[in-house]
Amino acid sequence: MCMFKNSILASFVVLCLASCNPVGETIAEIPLSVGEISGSNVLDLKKGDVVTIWSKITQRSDNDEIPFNVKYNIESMGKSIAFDSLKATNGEHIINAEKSTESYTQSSSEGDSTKYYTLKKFEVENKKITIPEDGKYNFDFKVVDGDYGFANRDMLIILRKTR
Amino acid sequence: MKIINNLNFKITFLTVKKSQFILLILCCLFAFACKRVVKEEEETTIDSSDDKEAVSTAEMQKIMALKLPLKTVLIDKTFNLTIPESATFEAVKVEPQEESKIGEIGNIDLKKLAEPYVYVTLNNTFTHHDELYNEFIVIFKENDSTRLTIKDIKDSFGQIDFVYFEDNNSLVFEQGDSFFTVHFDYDAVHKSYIFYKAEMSWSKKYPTKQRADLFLHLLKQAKNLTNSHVVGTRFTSWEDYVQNSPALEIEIAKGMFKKLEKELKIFLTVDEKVSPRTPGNYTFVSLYLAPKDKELDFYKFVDAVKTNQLGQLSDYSFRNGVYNVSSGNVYTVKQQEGCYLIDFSSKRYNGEVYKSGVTVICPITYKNKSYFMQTADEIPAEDTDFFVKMFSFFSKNYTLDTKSN
Repeated sequence: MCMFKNSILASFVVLCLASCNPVGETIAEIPLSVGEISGSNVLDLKKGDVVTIWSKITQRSDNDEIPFNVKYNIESMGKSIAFDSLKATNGEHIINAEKSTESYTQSSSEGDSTKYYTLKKFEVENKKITIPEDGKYNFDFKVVDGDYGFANRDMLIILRKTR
Repeated sequence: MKIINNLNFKITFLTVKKSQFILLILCCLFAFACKRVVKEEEETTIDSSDDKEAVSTAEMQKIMALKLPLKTVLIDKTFNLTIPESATFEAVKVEPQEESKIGEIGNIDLKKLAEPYVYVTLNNTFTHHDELYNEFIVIFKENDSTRLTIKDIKDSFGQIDFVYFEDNNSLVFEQGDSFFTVHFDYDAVHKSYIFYKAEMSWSKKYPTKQRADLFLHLLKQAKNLTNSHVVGTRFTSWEDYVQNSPALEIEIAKGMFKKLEKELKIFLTVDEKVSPRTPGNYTFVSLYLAPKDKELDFYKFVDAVKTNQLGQLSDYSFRNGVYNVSSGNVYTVKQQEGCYLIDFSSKRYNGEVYKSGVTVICPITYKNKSYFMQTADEIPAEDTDFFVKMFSFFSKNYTLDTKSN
């Protein structure tokens, strides 16, 4: 009985520690626009820090979902330590999801009508990067295809740090 | 016995309570420790600190001593004005009764002038699309050379937040986060005032120090308007531009090139052309990673223009390559410091010749790949030197950073 109790207590302690700040501390928010490189400020990171790349995405139900790729480059001391690409909408871990119904007025010869659509905003985890050495790092991103970024579609990359 | 039983019960009760209490605490910890998202806005703050300092005459003299290539132009067939070598101008005659945008200069109401005045706008890379600032000159007749005073001009602006520099005929100041340079001279021969004004809107969020420095450079230009002893001087290199130009203009160029540097070294793929946007959301310079055939097409075009055999090329409508060539246009190509300066003209249906400016193209070889850097817009021939020096430096160093900064 005592053993059972202790193991429950132990698992609670483990859960407690693991659940502290599960997505990490936000260290940069980087707005993206098509065809442009957008970068973080210089980030001071320690060996073993894990930087997770999240994409904040806005989708409208009346538009086809446009897949888009983001190329990224991580640089330290003028040297590229990772250059790869990610599909911004790909990922299992989704947080901060919001859904709202929006409307706009459409005018035609038959008169005005109100159109409704659903606006979904969410953040999706794309990649985890483990920092190899203590140092100053730059993260750069570039949307390489898709036509994202027009008409108030705010697309953000969020960098979060855990250890 | 009853007492003992009671005690046992109390002990059991306390034991249960204690373990439940620990569990409760742990649950609370678990629940509160689970912060879903930590949002910490990391806003880049613009230096709007109050480190404003009036500029001494000695400091102004230091700026006045910096190199500035100048040229003298004739305005309205009457006035010789000395303006920067890189500037172009447009002059129009305005009837006083038409006047709407300037209103008064000091205590002089332009609407009440007896004769038309000349309104001159100056243009360069940084005034294009009102990217950074705008500047104009008004030349108007006035027999009294003492009529205009800095005090009257100052009063006409109302509340001024900070004066950086002032003398008998100049004023550099800040008002509502907008920057202004005002200067006037009196042309005794033509009994006319030459009034200069430059303005940068409050919406341009740049460090105060850099904005003040820019407006002192503009005052230098204004003070040279009536300079009749122009010494032929030129910028010899990009380093020369960096040392003698307003820091803000250089910073804007470097900001754009930081992106181009990353495109060149990392991001750009074959046959991709990029043109990063300026802070004012305009294009400035583009970079293209050319496939072999497009590279050869470009040199074929250049050689054909040089040997005057463009018409003999069977297919010289090169589209979506380094430079768009259209049959029917007339091209000239000049080579300067590793760059190509391409000028074209075309004849309209009414026979009128159309020219829209020069395109500066500079080939860059990086890791055995062929890139072409070019001006995103066609630019006036007067303004090409800045781009030639900048491109030429970048093509050798893959950065705009110089050793001096």
